[in-house]
Amino acid sequence: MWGLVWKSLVHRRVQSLSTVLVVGMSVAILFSVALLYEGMANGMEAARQRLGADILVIPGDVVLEAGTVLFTGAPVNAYFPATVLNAIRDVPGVGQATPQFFSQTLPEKCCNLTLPVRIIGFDSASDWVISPWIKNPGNRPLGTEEAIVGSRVDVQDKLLLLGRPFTVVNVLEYTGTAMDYSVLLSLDVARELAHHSEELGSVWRTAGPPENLLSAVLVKVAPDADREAVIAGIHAQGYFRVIVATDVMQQMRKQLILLLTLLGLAGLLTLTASLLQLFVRFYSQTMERQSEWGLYLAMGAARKQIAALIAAEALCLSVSGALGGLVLGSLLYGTILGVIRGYYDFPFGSPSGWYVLGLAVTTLLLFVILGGMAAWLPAHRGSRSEPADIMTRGEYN
Amino acid sequence: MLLIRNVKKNYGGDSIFSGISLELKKGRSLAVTGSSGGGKTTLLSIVGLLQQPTSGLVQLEGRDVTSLSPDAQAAVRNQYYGYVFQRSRLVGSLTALENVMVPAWLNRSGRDMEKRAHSLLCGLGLGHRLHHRPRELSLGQLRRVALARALLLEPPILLADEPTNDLDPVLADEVAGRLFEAAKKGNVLMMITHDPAVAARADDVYELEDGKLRIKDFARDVG
Repeated sequence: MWGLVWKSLVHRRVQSLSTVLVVGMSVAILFSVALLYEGMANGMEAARQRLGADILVIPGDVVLEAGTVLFTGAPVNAYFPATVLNAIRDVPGVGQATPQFFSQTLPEKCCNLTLPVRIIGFDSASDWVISPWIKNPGNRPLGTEEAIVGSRVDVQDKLLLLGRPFTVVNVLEYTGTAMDYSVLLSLDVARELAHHSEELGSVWRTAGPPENLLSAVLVKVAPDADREAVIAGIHAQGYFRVIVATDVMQQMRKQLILLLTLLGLAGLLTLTASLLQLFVRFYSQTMERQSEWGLYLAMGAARKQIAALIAAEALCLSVSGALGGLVLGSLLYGTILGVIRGYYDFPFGSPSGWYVLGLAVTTLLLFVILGGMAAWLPAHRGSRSEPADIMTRGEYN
Repeated sequence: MLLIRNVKKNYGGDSIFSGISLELKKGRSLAVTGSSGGGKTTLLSIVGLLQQPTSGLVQLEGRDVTSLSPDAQAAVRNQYYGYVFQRSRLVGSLTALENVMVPAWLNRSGRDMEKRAHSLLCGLGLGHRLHHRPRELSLGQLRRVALARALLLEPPILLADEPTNDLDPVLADEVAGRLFEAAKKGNVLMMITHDPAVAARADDVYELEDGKLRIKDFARDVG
């Protein structure tokens, strides 16, 4: 019987290919949109958890997009005096404030690295932002020759930074942001390294020695405080950019939701088209191939064999279309992600292998069910064809 | 081998025929003639288990096969019957060789039968048309493909509905010759034909007129 299924599909190759193609395209779009959605949801969640701060205060001359700084964790080489920290802490309504110092990016050819990494200094005593991401957190602060590395920094126990050896004492969990490509040192050590950096020498000549500078202050607003009043209070301390996490997140969420809605609509349209194609193809067969099925019945096919024949054809088309669509969808996912990243800075957490596998299996099952549904009517009618009909029909169908 | 007992067929309120009884024996051929629309094809399809009679029964080797379920009748058709239909009735999407193989695919003996299908088609002069589709074949070629399909599983009963219709005399003689040859080898052959020359080659000739089946009186025709 499989021989008949195969011959039927091959001999109607234009019909078969067009059905497989339409099913494949809709699977590809659905699969890639679902992966993108999951990745973006992961990224937003990671960013939300990573940020842990309500407000990010950076020097006023930083021109980067708020979302870039906030969600990708991209460090910027702009600085303000360290005294800003205490001034901000004194603003009424500020619950907690912790400083960060962004040093230079080290290229992969430098040191013993395989990828470019950022050096970030943080204050482990006041920090609540980075600490939750440390895999095996301890209570003691980082030593002067100790470092924590992001999850994508490929080093063993030892790390050589600008000729200075460090022991890697911890690794961060995967965050889906630039933090994954960072080396974290204590605030003072990061400043000291930066002091001797030729690359940043001109910066220190203008801004003063790095020991007295900071790059960012992360602020948590006290539970009952008025956030707008806190923002106004911070602005009153000097020329800063104050990035409010919730505003940026809402804005970014709006943009991404719009984008995903458009992609999802495209997927739904293609899905509808492929469903129509499947149903039309198999429904039209009930008329076109009635005499063929009658002939098989006359030649000795059981009714359930005819039903199985029709269902097998539908399943072959939908499953092969779905399998092709999954491959195409994986390629589409990479391409769309690249294009979106070219226009937006947003946090992205690649979906886990289990999620991808589960999604692939679900998509495949969905199309197996749809193929079965499309074949049900023709299978039902075909299996009830009258073998005697063929006695009075034309030469061949 | 095959016994038709008191078979009656009505369509709506009209009686096509009634009280038809026949016996088809191994190694014998039987031709049925009669005017068009007289119910010959209907009779053949009842004998071939392609439709149910209104009343009466068909016995195959002593067993009533009219009362079997549709699937059991299908199995009987596959095992016992070979059909050559009035029109060749080939599957348009299959090649000549594949069309011949259909009965074998349906009973899952495909692999064993491919050589036989090949040799049957070659024996019928279609060795160069094995992989052609029906639309690429002439009427005579289509009829020979249908004949090869009927003979593939070597069924004990062959039913042919005007198998030489529309064929030139040479081809008609070849197709009829193949069928009578099978009957001589021990098969049952029941054939419907308008061609007196073909009918005359059968062991028994009947005429279906006015819903009644009678032995054909050649003398009356000549007179």
